[in-house]
Amino acid sequence: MLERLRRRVFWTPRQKFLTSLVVTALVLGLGGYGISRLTTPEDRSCAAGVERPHGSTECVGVNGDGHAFGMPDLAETAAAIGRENATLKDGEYATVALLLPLTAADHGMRVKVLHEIQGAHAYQYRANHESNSETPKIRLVLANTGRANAHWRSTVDRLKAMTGAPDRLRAVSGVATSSTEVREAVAALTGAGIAVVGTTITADDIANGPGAGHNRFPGLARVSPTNGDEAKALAHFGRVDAAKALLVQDTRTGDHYTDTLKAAFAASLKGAPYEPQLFTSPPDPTEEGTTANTFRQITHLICDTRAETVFFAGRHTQLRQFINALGARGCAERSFTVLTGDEGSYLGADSKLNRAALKAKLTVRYAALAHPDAWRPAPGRPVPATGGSATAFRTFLTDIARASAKPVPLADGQAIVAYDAMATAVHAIRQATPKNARYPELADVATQWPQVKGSLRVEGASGWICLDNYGNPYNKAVPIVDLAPDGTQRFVRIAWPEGKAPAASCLPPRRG
Amino acid sequence: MDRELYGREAVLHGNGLVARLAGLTRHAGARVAYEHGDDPPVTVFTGGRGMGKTALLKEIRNGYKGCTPLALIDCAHIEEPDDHGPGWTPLTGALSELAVQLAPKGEAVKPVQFPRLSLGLVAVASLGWSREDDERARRDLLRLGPLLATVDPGRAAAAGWVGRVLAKLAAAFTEATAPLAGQVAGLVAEATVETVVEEFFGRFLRQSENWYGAYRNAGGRGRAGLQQLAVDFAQGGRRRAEAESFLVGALTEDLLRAYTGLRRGTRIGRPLLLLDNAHEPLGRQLVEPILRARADGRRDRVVVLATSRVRDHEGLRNATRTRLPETAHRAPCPRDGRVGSGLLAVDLTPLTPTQARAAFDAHDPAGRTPADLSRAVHRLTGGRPLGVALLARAAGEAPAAVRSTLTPGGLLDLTVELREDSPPVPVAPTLLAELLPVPRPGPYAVLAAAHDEDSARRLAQARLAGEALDGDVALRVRDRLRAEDWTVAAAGAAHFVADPLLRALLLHRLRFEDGDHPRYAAWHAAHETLRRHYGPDPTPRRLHHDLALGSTAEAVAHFRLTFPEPDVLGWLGRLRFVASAPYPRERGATGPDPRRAVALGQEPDPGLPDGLDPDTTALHLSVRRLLHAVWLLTDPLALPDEEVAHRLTHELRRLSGRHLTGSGPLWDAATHWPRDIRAWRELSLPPGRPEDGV
Repeated sequence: MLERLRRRVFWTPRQKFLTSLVVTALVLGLGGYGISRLTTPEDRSCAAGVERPHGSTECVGVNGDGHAFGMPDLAETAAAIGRENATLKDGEYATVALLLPLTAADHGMRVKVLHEIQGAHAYQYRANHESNSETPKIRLVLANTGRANAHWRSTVDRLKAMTGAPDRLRAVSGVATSSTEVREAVAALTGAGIAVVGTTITADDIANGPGAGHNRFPGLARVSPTNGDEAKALAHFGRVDAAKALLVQDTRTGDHYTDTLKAAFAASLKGAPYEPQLFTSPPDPTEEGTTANTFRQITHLICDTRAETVFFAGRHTQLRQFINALGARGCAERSFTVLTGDEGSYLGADSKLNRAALKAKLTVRYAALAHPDAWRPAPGRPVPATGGSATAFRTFLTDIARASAKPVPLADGQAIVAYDAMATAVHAIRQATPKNARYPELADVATQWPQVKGSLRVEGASGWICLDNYGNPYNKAVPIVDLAPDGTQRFVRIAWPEGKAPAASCLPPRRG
Repeated sequence: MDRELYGREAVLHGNGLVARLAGLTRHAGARVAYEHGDDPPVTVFTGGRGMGKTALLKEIRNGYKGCTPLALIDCAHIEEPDDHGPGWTPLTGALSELAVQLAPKGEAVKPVQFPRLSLGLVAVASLGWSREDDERARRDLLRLGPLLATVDPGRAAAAGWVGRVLAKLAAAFTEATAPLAGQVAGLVAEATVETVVEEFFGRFLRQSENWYGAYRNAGGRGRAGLQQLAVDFAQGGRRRAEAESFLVGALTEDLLRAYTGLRRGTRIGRPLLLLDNAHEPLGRQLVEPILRARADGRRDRVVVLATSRVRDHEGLRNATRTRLPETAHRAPCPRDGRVGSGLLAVDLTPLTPTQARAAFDAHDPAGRTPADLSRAVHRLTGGRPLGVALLARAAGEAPAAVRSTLTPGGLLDLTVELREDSPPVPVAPTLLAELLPVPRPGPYAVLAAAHDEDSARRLAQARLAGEALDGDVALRVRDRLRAEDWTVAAAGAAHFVADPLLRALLLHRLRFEDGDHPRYAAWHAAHETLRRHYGPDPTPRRLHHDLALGSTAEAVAHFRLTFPEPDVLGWLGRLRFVASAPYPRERGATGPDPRRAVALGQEPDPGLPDGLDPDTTALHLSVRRLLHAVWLLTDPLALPDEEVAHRLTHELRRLSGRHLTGSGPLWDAATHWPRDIRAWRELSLPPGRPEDGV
């Protein structure tokens, strides 16, 4: 058999020559392919400017070409942004990045991210098409910091590199959660002179403030009230009798949302008869952990008090566990009101929430960042004359309808806030653009915030955005909402951190 | 089916002569360096009948078939087709046969095309065609079909190509104007070639026609060359020989083209042309053009292996001569200016006793035949491979009852199964027919009893008068034997048929052919005639025939009476000659040879003549025992007997003591003759001198 094969392919000189040629070609070809395969580094890129970091399958980076970072639910909006960006001509646009954990693992965060992007895109469209051809045009790019913002550093580095031509990154928006990574990212960005507009960050420590050492984020502006302002608004709203109030708080430190809430609640509950009830959430507060047991015990203790209002300083997973535990409380005949920060807005979409608990004389009220009913006139509920406008909100409704084929759910307020943040960023960019220039200098944008006030305020869909000298919104409208048993949030009324709506001039008073 | 060939390794083994010529070992196992560069000699194996020439060529064919283009033809037997036209000669038939054998695709060889030879043979075949005789042209064309199939197998297999060629031919005829006489052959040939080219030859093959432009008077135009070739062929004589030579050149050219040009590197080794019986005129016609072309510097790279029964063929005069064993590692064949120097003549040598032994062992692996049988057969046959092989086969097939007592003579009586599909044939006639293929071996058998030409003629006159219609039978037989390359004795030699095997076979036939048991009339008549011819005095030759007739008394008496004479060597010589007489065996005799009992003195009745004194009686008996011992021990058909050899020593010693003057030669004979017997030599005379051993 072997002999026959030899006669066929390796017998005459010509056969030997041809066979050797073919075999050599095969060996060289396969060997070369194998060697190049072994020596070439793995292609970890996902799209232009986006690649998978080592040890991760997430696509991390910055992209504005329609890449969806591997998330199917983002695809439609990302493609829309890509199309919008594609119409822009080189040299006549400035870029705004949306810094978000696009590839977040949990469902709530993914929904939030989607709504933020839709809101931002809605304002991008308005800025490019319905703003009287003001320049520069706005290019929107998505910047993914990865699951739990773990890869913020590489993304921020890439953003910092985009400040030159052709991108001309002038502002970063979308900073949406209050966590250490986000704070460091904001610090890095502002440190590089890039203007940052926070959307739903409420924590007080991602904010500038009066006094030395508190101006850590030069160039940061926020469109959401700080936790402190929220807590003040809640306090004004409830006029809480400290004697009938109780604080339930997380002992885990390092989470600025909870820390800020704890501090604000504690300040307004001075003189309360009971010491705070404590629990400790897992290091990743989105995990279930064992806190449900703690809340069952806390429920027993609450029944033992005379408290009617419970201030809850914790993240939404623990909030949900707490409400579920309260729903099964022994003292069912007593009614309770739970007051908490904007994390309460996540409950509506949480399938693990025991809805029956909300019917058992339990009211969950929280300070939402924005609510679609806040600036919509309704019978018996007039719209305040100042601090916001129904016109701005109707404009928003027109814009957001263009952002997606399906109606964008607005109840969680994320789209509204992101729209406002984008509006603030665009406002600053265009204000910073000198006459006869096509785009502003980078440094000029970050210095615009102190001037966003008075008649230069941004008329946001969630209310007027008048920034104080530290970039924080002054007396921003805080919609207080009830969590309805069907998961929606029911607008109660607008509360004001300063106790009443701002004056028409909307100029923050001198502080300190 | 490899057949075991003994003693031919020098040609066949992995680095043997054929491997070095063809560049390949058998079955294309490996490549071998060419010994003679691009000028391999035409190798001629010479040897008489039964020396294994044909077997050798067949073995080469079996070893190389399918590995390299190969053809084997027997120049003595070219099949002549029925009713062939004038275009057929044995040479064109042989060329066609060679090409058809060389062409096919083998296991390790690509097909070979023969466009030039095809065109030449087509041109020649068209001789004698006429417009009226369609049938002849059709037959001749059909005969060329296999050859044309080498050019285009598809078209040759397709039905009706002959019809198409003939139709085109007919059209060409009608167009042609009435040709001049003498040019007809050329014109028909041209038209035929044209139609065949159109029918069979692809674009690339058409230029092969141009090769004929080198023919006489063609002036470079191939078509004209072919026309001239046909005209010359039709003319006959020297012109035809020239045309035939050119056709042989076409064969080698086609073979060469398969190895050069675009096809370079697609083949390994060289093509083999095996020509059996090349001493025939046809062989010479085939080889001579190749040799002449090579002498002119052409390098066709064809390996021609031929056989010649005639060792001293005139064509081999200038050949480099060598013997088979010498070619095992080198076979130089220096070329000088002469045409014949491109020939390498290799004498096939007889088998050695060891090789004969191997043949017997192969057929009788259990060794149930007598141990000396193979050696005795070797003595009888002289190592002739055919004889050894046949007798070894007979020994292997012998009935178990006789196997242990077999003698060479006994083997001749047996039958042997040569082919499984035919009944066993008797050994002696079969062997005789192979060695002496004459229609009627009868006269040869009779004359085998003769000693020389003179006695043969006398014998023929007496016994073969009926045969002598066309001259002297003895001389005719002598010439025929010489023609078959058998040695025939001149006047004064011991035997008319010199070869011991052939003589033994002829005498076997003489004694047993007529089935005249127990009178053996033919045998008796022949020997009686000769006895009378040499008589009535007790001359050695007369006594020789006495012995052949079974009568020893006079011989014993003669040797007793002449013993005291001083010429002891002459006495010993006469004794040796008389004892070389053929023994009158009985067919189917079993048991020990009767001569053995006499030689050992165990005979119950020695049949003493009357009136001898005791001393003379002792001498008589001693001489009688001596005569029988020598007769038995030197009989090639009997197995020598150690006991008898001892007895021979003893008798000679005793006689040495009796003789007054010649005790020396007798003593020497006592010493050396048994040695000669044991060494399977002829008895030396004077004893001890190697005279003309085996």
